[in-house]
Amino acid sequence: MGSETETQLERTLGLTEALMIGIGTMVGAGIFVLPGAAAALSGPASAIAFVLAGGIAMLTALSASELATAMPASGGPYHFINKGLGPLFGSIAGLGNWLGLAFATAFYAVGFGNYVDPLMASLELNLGIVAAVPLSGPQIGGLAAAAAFIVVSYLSTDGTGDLQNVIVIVLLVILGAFIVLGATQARPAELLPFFPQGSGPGSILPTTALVFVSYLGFAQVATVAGEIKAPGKNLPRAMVGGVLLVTLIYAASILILLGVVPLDQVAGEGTAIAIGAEAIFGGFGIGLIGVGLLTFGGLLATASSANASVLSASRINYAMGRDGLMDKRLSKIHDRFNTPYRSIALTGGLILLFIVAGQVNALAKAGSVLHLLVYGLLNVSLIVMRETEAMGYDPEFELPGYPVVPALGALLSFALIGFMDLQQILLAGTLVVAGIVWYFVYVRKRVEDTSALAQYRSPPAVEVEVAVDFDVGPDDIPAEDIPADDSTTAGHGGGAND
Amino acid sequence: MIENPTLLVPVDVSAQEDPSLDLIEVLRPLRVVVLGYYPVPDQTAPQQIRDEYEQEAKDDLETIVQQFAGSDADVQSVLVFTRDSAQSIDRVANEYDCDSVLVSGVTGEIARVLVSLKDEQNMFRVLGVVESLMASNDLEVTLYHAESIEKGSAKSELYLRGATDWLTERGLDREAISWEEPTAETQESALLDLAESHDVVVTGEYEPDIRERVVGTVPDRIHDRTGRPVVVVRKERSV
Repeated sequence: MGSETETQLERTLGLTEALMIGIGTMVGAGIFVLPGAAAALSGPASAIAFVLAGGIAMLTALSASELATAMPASGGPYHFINKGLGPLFGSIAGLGNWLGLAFATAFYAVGFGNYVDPLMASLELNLGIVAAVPLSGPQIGGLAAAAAFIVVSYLSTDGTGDLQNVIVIVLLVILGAFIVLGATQARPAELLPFFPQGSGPGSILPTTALVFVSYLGFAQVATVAGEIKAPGKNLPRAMVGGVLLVTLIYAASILILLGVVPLDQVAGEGTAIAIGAEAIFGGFGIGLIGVGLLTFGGLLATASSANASVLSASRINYAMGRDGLMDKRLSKIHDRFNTPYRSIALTGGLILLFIVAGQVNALAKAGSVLHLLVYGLLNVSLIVMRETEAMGYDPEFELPGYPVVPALGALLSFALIGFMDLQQILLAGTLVVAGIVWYFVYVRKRVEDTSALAQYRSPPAVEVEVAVDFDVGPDDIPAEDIPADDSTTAGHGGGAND
Repeated sequence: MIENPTLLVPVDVSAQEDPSLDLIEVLRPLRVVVLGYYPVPDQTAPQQIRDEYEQEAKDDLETIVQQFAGSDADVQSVLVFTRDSAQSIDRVANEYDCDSVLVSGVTGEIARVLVSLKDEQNMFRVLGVVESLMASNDLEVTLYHAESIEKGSAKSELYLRGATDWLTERGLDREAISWEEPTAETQESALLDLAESHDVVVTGEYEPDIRERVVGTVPDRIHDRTGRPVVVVRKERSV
């Protein structure tokens, strides 16, 4: 029998699952780690900072949705930039995206440690570890947590996906209770002065830059675009809906927190939300339960964010290896566990190193700088795809408001970098330079630039229809997912402006 | 009634558990679609697993297809990388118009087939598959009515007699067909016991009730308990 076997990739994620991935990655840091630091900077006005950061994330989420439905290959933002702008920017974005995630994960893990630390102390589980090593309690808790996620990812434990959904639902219920019960007790007078006395509204943009790390999760949905059912519909809904929901939760929680607890009690506190919970649930005579719930929530949230980031990082490694921007041996799959074990081990090792090195807050901000850069480039990539009418670029979802939305997304992402601390910008800048060096040393002689930009600059001499290889293979999409009215040929251009 | 029944044969290509040659021999009269599925863990991108294992999986699948194909049989094959094999089996069965799905199992030489009939809706479809199997194999068939009916009710017997006549009228040997009448209390354990003493089970697909959603459907339980291969005849799909 010479019959050709058809290869398919099953799409197993519905709208709910896709939403859960986005929310699960996002909701960790913003609510459980950052409110104290944000409140210290901007007071009640930090709610505006959360909304602003959410707005910037939203613009990029729209662009990422369009790009992801056009090229649903693994790799997310890195992949879009590599295909749009070429391997130089691909190298920068890949390295930035990867290390940015590792930074964020270290930050989430120490955030987790912040919640575990008082538990360990109250249970006298200290065991003398703290005395023996020069690490803080949160660092030790973070190390233990990060090590656990890395091992679980390495060994491929069945059902972590389902577990993630349960975690997110439990989290949303806990936060919902916090917001609803808190709303009955918040005193608007507590929110005044709305802007901090010293800096006034001027503090909002730096705070926006600080809290942007709480939105890094939305692009994770793009990395699984190939696994989402009916992506043209579900992908934008999951990304936009996720950012919207998370923005509302963040803004409402911080307003309620500061409406219940005086600012000076939570400013700068790592577990500010638990302090708020004590006051809010205490009003109902169940203060201890409230603290317990929110502490539990903090554990779940930081854990799920950290876990999702470890996994995304390994996908970027894989995508870069596939495109020749990194050694393929890094994305080798384990014979028994079927996981990209080397990539998980390397990323995991880096995360543990970052936790031990300390300064995770600075790293998280450097991670935000890198992500803002990547998101800015992603928006630019979308504009390039459309303007060059790149061959084969035929997204199922087209973002509204072109070119304003992606242009604004790019500008605001780049502009927000300006409000970061110089030290972190320099750190991120070093990594950008490293990406450029990597390109000239390793990538350039190995990879031919077939990006949309390169094709536009020097179109193929002969009039042959060469489709840019957006996808990994033509059989990426099961036949059922190709819309019936899809009469596009390989030569069809962007088609986005009609 | 099914013309030219199509059977979906799902095979986990990541494990070495090919359907046995005896089973393949018996199933050959059916048009066969072999679905090779490769489970993808949550931690790994399906594309990445495909890059690594596609060729290997295709070769394994081809071996199985060859065994089914024999001389001139019509065998199609699909390879799916999936996080959810149940979903893939269902989707491919729909896409390739499969009337029945094999739940693979261990068996030696195949001589005795247990046919579990439940209600009239699906009965002709189940019998159609049985007819195809019996027509080109030398098989003994036990018909079983698997609905809760009180002992002594005429309904079970009428069903089973009718089914026997239906098969005999299509030229099958009356001597090869026997039937078992269960009582309400014993019907399920009786089915499992009977499955032990047969080599293959053919059953219809029914909506699982609440209990079955917890403990697993009848085909799953037959398979778990006895390890026998089960051919599940699907309901008519309205297209």
